[in-house]
Amino acid sequence: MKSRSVKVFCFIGLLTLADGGMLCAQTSTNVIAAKATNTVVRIPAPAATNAAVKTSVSAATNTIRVVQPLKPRAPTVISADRGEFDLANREVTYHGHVRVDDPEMKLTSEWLITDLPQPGEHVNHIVAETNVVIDFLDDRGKTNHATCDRTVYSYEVKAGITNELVTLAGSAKVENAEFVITGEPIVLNLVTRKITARNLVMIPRQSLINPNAETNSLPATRPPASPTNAPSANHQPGADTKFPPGKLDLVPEHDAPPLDH
Amino acid sequence: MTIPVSRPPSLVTRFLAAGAIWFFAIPNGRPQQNGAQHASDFTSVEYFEPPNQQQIKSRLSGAEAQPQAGGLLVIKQLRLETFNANGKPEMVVNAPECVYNTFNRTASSPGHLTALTGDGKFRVEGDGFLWRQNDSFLTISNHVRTVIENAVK
Repeated sequence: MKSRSVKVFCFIGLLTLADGGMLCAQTSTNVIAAKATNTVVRIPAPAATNAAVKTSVSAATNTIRVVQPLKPRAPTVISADRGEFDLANREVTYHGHVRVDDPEMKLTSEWLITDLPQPGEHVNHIVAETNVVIDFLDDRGKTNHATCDRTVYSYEVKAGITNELVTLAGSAKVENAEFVITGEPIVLNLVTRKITARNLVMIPRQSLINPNAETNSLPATRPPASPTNAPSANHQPGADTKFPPGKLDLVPEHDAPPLDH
Repeated sequence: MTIPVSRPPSLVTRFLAAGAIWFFAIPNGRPQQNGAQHASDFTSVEYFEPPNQQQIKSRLSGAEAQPQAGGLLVIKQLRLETFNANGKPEMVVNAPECVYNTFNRTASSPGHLTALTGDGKFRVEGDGFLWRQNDSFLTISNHVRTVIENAVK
């Protein structure tokens, strides 16, 4: 298992898989989490979240990373067909063609509810539902594309510790140029830059492009064909009869229903 | 001119209507040139429930108000302010014009609207709105756009 994990580290590059509970039916082209478990994937932090000027050295990769200085972030814009501002309950509901344009991500959905924070406070709860699509960039400038039925953003500072999570539920999927992740739910921790998922399945893109590549296990995207009554692709008409090819398969006469006289 | 509001709602409605009639009957003590009575500096105020009954919950004001049939007022240069129980401003809404219903205490307009939260971090705009003063509920019917100023990260 350890050597398999090392392969995973190499293949995904900057991504790091953690959690010993993950059972990988892993080959050079497929990584499948076969056990229902919480699995953690570390994703690179976007440059916009770097909070101070500093130089850090990664022990795992021996790479030096210069963190950008403090910069004001561009505003977040929410647009929709209709909006309802419940000032008594401090809640805003957007309906129809909801679109969120944020420096770190784009989101579209059919409706979205966000709390209206007290002046000077942070938005701490957002729910988006129905046809949710999220596109976000990592620090390599690569686009990650997420889809689900429902997503919940939560922000909380407890005992000086900030928790900022995005939970994707309902046919949740995250994909980029390198891999596709499915899980139920998929939780993206914006502070630790980790993805946690139950029943996680991660498929490298390479296996999707070339599903016939040699593997030691069944491809994740091609389950064994279930038996059907349909004729096979190389079925020759008339092959199971005494008639020459090209003739119709006739029903034997003795199987015909008796005629009423 | 200020129309004070107190509870219960039935008294509020009566008082508003009486205040509106009294006010528009004496518009600044001078006759109107166009024949229609109107007034300037219209204001309607909603207070919090006890124990914060001294605090203003919302204030709807306009540069000009013109009475219509059915207890309606056409308000020019609408300005709607909402406050929290500590008196801090929460949101300011501006619209060039709206119709204010003195009986059910709603303001509506098919026109453009802009809003800004007290700390200036939320800016909202859209076309067509309905403001329900009783429960502080604002509906923007079309093309809603909210801009949230992000903190430095």
